[in-house]
Amino acid sequence: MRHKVTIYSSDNKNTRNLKKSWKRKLKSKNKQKGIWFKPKKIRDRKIKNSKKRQYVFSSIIYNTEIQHFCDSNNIHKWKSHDETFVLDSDFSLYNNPSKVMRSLLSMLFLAKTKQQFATLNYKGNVSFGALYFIDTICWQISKSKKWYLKHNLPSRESNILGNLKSIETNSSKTEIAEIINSKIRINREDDDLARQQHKIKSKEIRDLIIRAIKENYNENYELSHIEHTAIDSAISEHFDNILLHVPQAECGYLCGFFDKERKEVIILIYNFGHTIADSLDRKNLPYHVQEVVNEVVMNFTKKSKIWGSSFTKENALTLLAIQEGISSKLDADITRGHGIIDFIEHCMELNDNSRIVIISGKTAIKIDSKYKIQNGKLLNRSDRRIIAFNDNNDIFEKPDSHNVRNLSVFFPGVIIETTIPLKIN
Amino acid sequence: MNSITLDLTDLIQDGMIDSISGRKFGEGYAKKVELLKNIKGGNKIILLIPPDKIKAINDSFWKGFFSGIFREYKTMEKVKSFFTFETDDFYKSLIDKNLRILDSIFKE
Repeated sequence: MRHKVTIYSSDNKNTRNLKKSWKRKLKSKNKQKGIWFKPKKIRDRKIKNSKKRQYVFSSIIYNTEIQHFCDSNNIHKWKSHDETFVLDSDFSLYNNPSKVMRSLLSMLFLAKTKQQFATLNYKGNVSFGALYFIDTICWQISKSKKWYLKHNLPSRESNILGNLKSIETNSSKTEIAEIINSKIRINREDDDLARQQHKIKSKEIRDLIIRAIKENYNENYELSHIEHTAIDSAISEHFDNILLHVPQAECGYLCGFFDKERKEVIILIYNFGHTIADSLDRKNLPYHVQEVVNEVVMNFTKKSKIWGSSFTKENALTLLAIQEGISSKLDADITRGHGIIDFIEHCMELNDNSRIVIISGKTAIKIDSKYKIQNGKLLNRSDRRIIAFNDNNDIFEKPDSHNVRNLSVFFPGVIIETTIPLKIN
Repeated sequence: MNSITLDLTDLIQDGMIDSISGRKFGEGYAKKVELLKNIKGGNKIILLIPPDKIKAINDSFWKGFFSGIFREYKTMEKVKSFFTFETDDFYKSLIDKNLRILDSIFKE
C-alpha cells in the first residue's frame, strides 16, 4: 500500500515543499531498506511513529502566517519538544523571548502530533504578555480540534487566563487586572483621513486604566497629559508603522492590560510580515540610508570575529533601524524614521522604570533605565537621538548583550511589549 | 493679514476617539485645510487644541502635518511665524520638539 500524500490548496509553499520532500525521502528510504517487503505491521509502526510525518500530514491546518512561523523555525526537525512549560520569572517576552517562543512552537507542534494537552507549571510568576501572545496564536489549534492548556495556576492568575478570550475582541475585569484585547484591522483606504480602529482602542485602554485606578486607589484620579501621550504613543506609533511599512499586513494584534497590584500598564502589539532588519537588508534603499547600512554591515563583518556569534548582522541592522531618522522610505519623505525613538522617549520620560522589548526576526532589543537616549552623530547629523546600548552610545560598538539579544527562535514580524509603571498617589 | 482657525477637535470623535495620530493623517489634514495655500496667501493660522478634549497627539502626526510647510520654508523660526498655538504648555512643548527635529532635517 502506498501512503497517501495530500497537498491541500490551503498549504503554503513551505508545507508543499515539505510534503514533496517527505514523499521523495520515503520513497528512496523504502527502496534502500526494502521496507515494502517487511511485514505490514512493522512497516506501519515505523511510519506512524514518525513525528515528522504526523506533523506534516496532520489534519490540523494553521493559517499561512502561523504555518510560516513554524516552518521558518523548522519545528519538525527539533530533537525534542517540551510538553510542560515552567512559568517562572524567566518566562516572559521581556526576560526570555526565546523561551516563550520555543514553548509556543512546541505547543503548535504537539497539537499536530499528540493527543495530550500542553501543561503550564506555575512556579511563582505569570507574564501576561507571554500568555496573551501564546493564547492568541494557540486559538488556531482549537479551530481544528479540542484543545486547552492544563495548568496549576493560582485562581487569580487562572481568572486572567480564562478571561483572555483572545480569539474575539473583548474587555474583561478580574480581581487583579483589567484587560482589553483586539484584532485591529488596518484601514488602507486611499483617504488620508481614513479612521483607524486602533484610535478607538487607545481611548478604551486609557479609560479602563482611569476607571481601575478610581475604583482601587483614588476616586479623583485622572491620567496626566504625559501619561495619555506615552500610552497612546505606544499604540499609535506601531500601528502607523504597520500601515506604512508592512503593506501585506491586514491586521495587527493589540492587548492592553492594567495590573492593579503592580500599578503597571502593559501594551502588547504584534503583527506578522517582514522583520525590521528585512526593511534595511534590501536593494533600492535611499542613498543616505544605504550608505549607513553599508557602514554598519562592513563594521560588523570586520569585528564579528572579536564580537562572537552572540551578535549578528540581523541584530546590528535591527538596532540601526530603531535610531532616529533611519527609514527605508526616506526617499518618499525625509522626515520619516522617528516613530520608535519618539515612543521610547515618551515612555522613559514618563517613568524611568518603563520596560520595552522589541522582537523581530531573531533579534530582541530590551530597553530599560540602564542606557539612555542621547544625541549623537548619524547620517551626517550630530543631533540625532541614538540609543546604542553601550557606554559610548556608539552604534559601531558592540551593544550590551543584556539589551540586544540574538534569539534561538525566529519571529516573522514584529512584537512590541511595553510596560509602564504608573505613579499613583 | 487674515487669520484662519483650525480646531483640532474636528479630528476626534466625542466618546470614541480622543487622540490624534498618524503621519499620513497629519499630511492628509494639512492638505484638506489647504495649509500651504493659506500660508502662501498671507493668512495666519491659529491652531486650537483644547487639552480637556484632545488627550494625546502623537509625534508622527506633527511631522506629517508640518512637513509640507518645512519643504517650502525650511526653518523652524519661519514656520512658527505663521502659527499661533492656542493650547497648554504640554502641547506647546510637544509641537516645539517636533518643529526642532524638522528644523534639523531641513537644515541639512
